[in-house]
Amino acid sequence: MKKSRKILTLLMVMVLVIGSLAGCKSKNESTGNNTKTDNAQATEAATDTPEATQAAPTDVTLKVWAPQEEQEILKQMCDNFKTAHPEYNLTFDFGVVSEADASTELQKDPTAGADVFAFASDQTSVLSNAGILYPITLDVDKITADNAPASIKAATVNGQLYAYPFTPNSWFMYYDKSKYTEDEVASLDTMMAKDLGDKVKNFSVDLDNGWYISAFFFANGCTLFGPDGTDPTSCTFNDDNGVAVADYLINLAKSPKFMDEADNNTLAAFKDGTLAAACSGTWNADAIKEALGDNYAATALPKITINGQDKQLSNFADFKLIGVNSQTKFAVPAMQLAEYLGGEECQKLRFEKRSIAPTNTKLATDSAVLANPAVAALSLQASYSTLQSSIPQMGNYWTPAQAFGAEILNGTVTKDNAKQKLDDMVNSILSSIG
Amino acid sequence: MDKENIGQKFSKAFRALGRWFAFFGEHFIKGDILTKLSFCILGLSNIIRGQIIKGLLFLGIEAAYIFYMVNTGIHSLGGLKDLGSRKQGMVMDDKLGIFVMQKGDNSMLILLYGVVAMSITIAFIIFYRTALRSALSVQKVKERGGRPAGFLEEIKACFDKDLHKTLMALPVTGILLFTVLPLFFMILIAFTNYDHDHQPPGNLFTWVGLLNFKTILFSGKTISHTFWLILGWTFVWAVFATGLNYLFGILLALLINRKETKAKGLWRTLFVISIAVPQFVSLLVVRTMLNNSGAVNALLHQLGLLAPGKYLPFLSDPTWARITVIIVNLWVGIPYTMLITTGILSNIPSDLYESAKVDGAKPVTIFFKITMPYVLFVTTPYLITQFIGNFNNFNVIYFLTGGGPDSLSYYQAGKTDLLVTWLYKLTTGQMKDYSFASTIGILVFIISAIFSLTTYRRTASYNREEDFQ
Repeated sequence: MKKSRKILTLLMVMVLVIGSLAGCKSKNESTGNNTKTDNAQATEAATDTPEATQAAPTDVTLKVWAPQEEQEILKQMCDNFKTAHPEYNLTFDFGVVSEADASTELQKDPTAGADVFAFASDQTSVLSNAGILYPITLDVDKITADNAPASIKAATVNGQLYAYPFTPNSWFMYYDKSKYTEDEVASLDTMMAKDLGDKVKNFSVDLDNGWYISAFFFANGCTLFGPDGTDPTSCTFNDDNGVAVADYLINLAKSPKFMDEADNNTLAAFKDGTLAAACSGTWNADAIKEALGDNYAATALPKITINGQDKQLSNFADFKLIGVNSQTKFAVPAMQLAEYLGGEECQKLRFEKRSIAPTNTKLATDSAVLANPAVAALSLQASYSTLQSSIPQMGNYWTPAQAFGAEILNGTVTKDNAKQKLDDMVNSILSSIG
Repeated sequence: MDKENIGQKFSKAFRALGRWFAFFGEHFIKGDILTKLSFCILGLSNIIRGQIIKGLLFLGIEAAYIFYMVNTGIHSLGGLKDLGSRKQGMVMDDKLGIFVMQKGDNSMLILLYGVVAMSITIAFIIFYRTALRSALSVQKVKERGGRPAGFLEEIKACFDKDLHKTLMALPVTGILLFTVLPLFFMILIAFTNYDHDHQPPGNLFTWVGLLNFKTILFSGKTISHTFWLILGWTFVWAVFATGLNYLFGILLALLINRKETKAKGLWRTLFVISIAVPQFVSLLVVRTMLNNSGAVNALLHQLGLLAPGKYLPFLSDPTWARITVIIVNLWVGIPYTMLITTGILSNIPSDLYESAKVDGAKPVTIFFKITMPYVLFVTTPYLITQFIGNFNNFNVIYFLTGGGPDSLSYYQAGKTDLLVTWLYKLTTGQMKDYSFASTIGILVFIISAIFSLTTYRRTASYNREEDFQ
């Protein structure tokens, strides 16, 4: 009895030891290699970039990140790139990382990150500041000429281009055709004044979110980090115009016809007909189209009336960009691939397969593109957008703006203390740790 | 349990450490020439005295360590001095038409390799001592005229006399590699300026001593203001969440345990079902229910209790949200207390109750004089664990409010954030302030450790173990 138990214990221990050894072994090996290469690289400056043109095809391995929905056409696009470049012997390593998560993943360990990746332009400053984005120098003039100026600006930090734009990533208004006419959706105050019945909410936007709330401030001429977004010491959200906006927002939030968007509650409301208009982007187009059915319509953001004057809501002009990792071993092929993935051909493919709006000026005026309501609304709104600053200080903006929105919604901000609260918000935006 | 004060404990620990190192000196005096030589050539004494394989193993490990240190270890340890000095740069290469990256130092990796080299060195010192002890013991065996154990015998001993060592080897290694080492690395980050302005690989970070602690505790900036306010709320939350769960759990158990209650099993099952649903599921469901336009508000509209357009700000008003999280947490916590106390209640000798009844005690008196002391005596350690658990209760806050509603007067935090969820936001949010997050983590540990040790040593369960037996 005792003996058999001992043997059993030993067997189990053996299994554990062997298993863990196998696990440890591969682990140790990889870390060992890392230390080696790292030290080697630390002692000698890496200058072994492959020549762009060589007789024999060079072996190139590129890691590419794209969101789940894009995997299928990504493979197709990469294959096209492969045939177009016989000078490389290409191997691709695809990873599923969404544009929103790319920045976080890269910051964890840039050397393990993708060589080429898609990311959202609000991360341009963070990534370039952390030294993760490769400065783009090939074909800059062509890219600048091909794409919308705002999209190029969003990819530029201190006059240096850091990524290739491929789609606007911003928001506009979806509405229910059976509840509003085309004239009515031009003004938010007209929309809010319309009586659609007790159960129906007239308008919804995500107020406790810095990305959406900024549109109201920009509408009334406030600026964030100066008129061109490069001055980290300036934010005029707390001037008289800003206070007027805060008053407007307080009234809007108090209105029983207004609904704050949270946890995608707009989709359900659209479905059961209790919501007339909501703000969102192309990522929600299919879901909203399904919810609204035949009443589906989209347009630019409405105007708001402040002190008797109509002001056009102005959202952040955000874009999705394709960047190259500064730690890449194959800088030239990676840059060429990024350029191709952000180029006209791929933008067209994305629009056809996934209704992704293009930034390419030629494509944006294409009749097929204009026929898609959401994409057309996005293009229409683009002319009213405000450029999102790409200085590092921008990272400070989101949390205070979100907090201000939350305090408007829960009534902490009142007309009496609005100026004080705006001052607090601006101080938080402009300071670094308080 | 001996009761010595902290000072005695420390001096005892230092003495033990001194003895540990004094061994090397004693060993050198006691050893003969071969053992003395083993100081440089590890395992020499074993090899010559017949333990060839063992001696060669010692020698091999020493050689491996020296090889590692010469190769990378010394370089890694040196990097700990200033965590790198060369910034990454880009140099224009006109021939290729692109910038070429000049690789700089990556402070994070330098810190990591430094910690690894340090751990390997410490492990080697411990191993070195073991090997020397073995050298001495072999010498003594020889002096007594005995025969040193062969390699096979020693292996056999590992599975017989020393089985405990064999069995413990793997878990200890695992804990050291996967818990202690990363923990040490992250603790060190608290003493650097690894924040949103110093992100590798583009920037270097370096040692700043206790500056982060000063900033968070006494700087008077928003971040320190935030720390104290969140700490206060964390305490309030922990006290209420723990106390109310405990109290209501006991009352519920009493209610079910009454003689008059029918279908006891059914009631218990009903309440335990709320445990069967994963916590985060119930929390997320409640979150959507309590939205400003969620099910609860909609129901109140339907019943006509709320005017159209009005809503109860369960999760969007700071005070409401704080009360809401405490109440929702009751739903999650009460069944556990009920289960635990049910067992204890059935353990209370019934003759105590009977004699109390004979003496004419009222139910309330009986509850406070007999039931509560008994239950408290048994469950105080559980209560302390619960308190610390609630102090760091990530789940309830994160899933229910996400720390919201956000506040303008806080740095990257909301009104229901606990220190733990704030720490989470600092590392995963926009700003990536790892150094501050690590500092807060250390502070949380200090607070929890001090609190639990002091309270535990004052409890009846600790001081009067022999009672109630």
